[in-house]
Amino acid sequence: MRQLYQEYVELLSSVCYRYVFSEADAKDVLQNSFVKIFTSLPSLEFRGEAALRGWMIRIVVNEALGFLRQRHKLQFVDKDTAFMQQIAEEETPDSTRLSPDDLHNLIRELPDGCRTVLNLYVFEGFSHKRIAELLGIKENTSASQFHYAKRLLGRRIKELTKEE
Amino acid sequence: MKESWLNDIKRKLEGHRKSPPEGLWEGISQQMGLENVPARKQPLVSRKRWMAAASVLALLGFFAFYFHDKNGPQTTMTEKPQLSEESVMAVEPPVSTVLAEKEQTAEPSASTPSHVGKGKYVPLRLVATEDTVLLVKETPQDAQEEETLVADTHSESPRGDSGVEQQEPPVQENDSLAETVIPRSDLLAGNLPVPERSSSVRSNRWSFGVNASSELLATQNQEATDRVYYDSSKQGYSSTYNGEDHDIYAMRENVMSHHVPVRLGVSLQYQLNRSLFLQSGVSYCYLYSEFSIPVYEHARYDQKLHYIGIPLGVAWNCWSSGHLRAYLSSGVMVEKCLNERPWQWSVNASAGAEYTLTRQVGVYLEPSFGYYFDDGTVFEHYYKENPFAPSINFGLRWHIKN
Repeated sequence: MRQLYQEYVELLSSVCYRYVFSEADAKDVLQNSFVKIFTSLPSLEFRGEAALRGWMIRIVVNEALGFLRQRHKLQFVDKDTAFMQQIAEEETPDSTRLSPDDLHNLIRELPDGCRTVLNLYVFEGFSHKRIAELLGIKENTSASQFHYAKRLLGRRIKELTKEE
Repeated sequence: MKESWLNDIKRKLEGHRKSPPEGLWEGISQQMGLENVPARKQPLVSRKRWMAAASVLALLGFFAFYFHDKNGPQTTMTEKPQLSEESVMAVEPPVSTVLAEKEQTAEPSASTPSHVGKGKYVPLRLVATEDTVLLVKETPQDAQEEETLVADTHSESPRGDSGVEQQEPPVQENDSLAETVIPRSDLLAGNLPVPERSSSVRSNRWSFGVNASSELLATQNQEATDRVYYDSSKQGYSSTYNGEDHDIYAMRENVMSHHVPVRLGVSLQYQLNRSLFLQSGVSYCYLYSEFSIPVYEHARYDQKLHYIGIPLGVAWNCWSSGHLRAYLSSGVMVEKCLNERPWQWSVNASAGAEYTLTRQVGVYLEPSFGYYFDDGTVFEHYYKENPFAPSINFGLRWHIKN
């Protein structure tokens, strides 16, 4: 178990921190995730390392979603706010100059609700319909929140690349 | 594609690593009970202290009740009065010799043992004829009446070896030893009658049984559903949400299916007195659960937990008639999970009825109500979802003959 932990803990921590902002919260999520992983390993049918990795990531994602729901941290941005109206439709930002750590931190800065939608859409590959089912929101809401996340993230990338 | 930059970000972050939170492995080890386990969490300690205190108080109350119970074990009823040939001879002629020993006034017989009449034996008066002996249980009243009679008749009737006592012995109520006629040869052989025991008085101290139980809350499938109300705390963005039902979000975390526990056991019962029993034994419990993650529907796993436990409790026989008896019992049980680390504590109370098929074998039925304490782990199982668990126990009981 220790070997498995050491091999995948950093990868799973990266996934967890994209969903959960604070370190204390991430520790709770990761701890529960690893306990579930270790508990389920005896009955898991091994189908290769890629499948194992994907399975563990799914457990972390599910734990993170549960944590966010439990802590009332799924807040969704209102499209009609003045702040959002200030952000014009972004052109394709250039993220090649930013390191993975920078990009990771930028994603973590996003509000919980639209960050969650962005993660589920981009990194987990869910459709908006599926995301809506998972989060208990409308499909249009999922799409709009994803749109806001893109605009916010694009704006932050441009700000950082300008500074550099 | 406009969103190609997002795909670029995704590819960049695919192999991204980040340092885990500090103390993560220690937390996992503690939660799973792996090596280098630190001190137990405070809530678990305080819960065990409370349970220990409750157990001590229960035991104190139990022993206080036991030692104040006037109906002690009826062991004397099985003992036969021991009479040796000497003592038999010593009481012939019976009446005056015994009285003379007590009063220290009559002429003692040379063959009279010194211990006759001094309480070593069950106080019996032998009223002997040539072939039979009449056993009469002597009471102080009898002795006083006899004193009067002997004093009145002593001078009238000479003593002899085979005197015939014509006096009617006083009637002893509720005493089957009051009057019994037995052959003299049986008396010399020590074959004295033993009163019959009533069916409600049990002579079997130990009882051994096998049992099974079934939980009454048949929760085959449970869905863990979280409902989150919209939180409008500010983080630099307005957080209102337009649309219908915008204040309530419902999401299915995962689907858990807890099967009804399978519980088997052997029980041991020790009778302390007529109405109190001490109970213990060994119990086995099997908890099976299935989990599925809706996020990824093909990700399913199950959980099998095996527990071995030791129950400890007391039972009070509140009613009995013929072959049927009813009792109340309560107790505590500690169970150890064999394939994982947690310990499971529970308390229970039940009302039972036992029907005696034969003198040694009975069948019983016990509706029971138990509470299962949180074991402090993340394992989800039946008793986590149903800490208050009514059940029904049934089994066979063998009453081991003394």
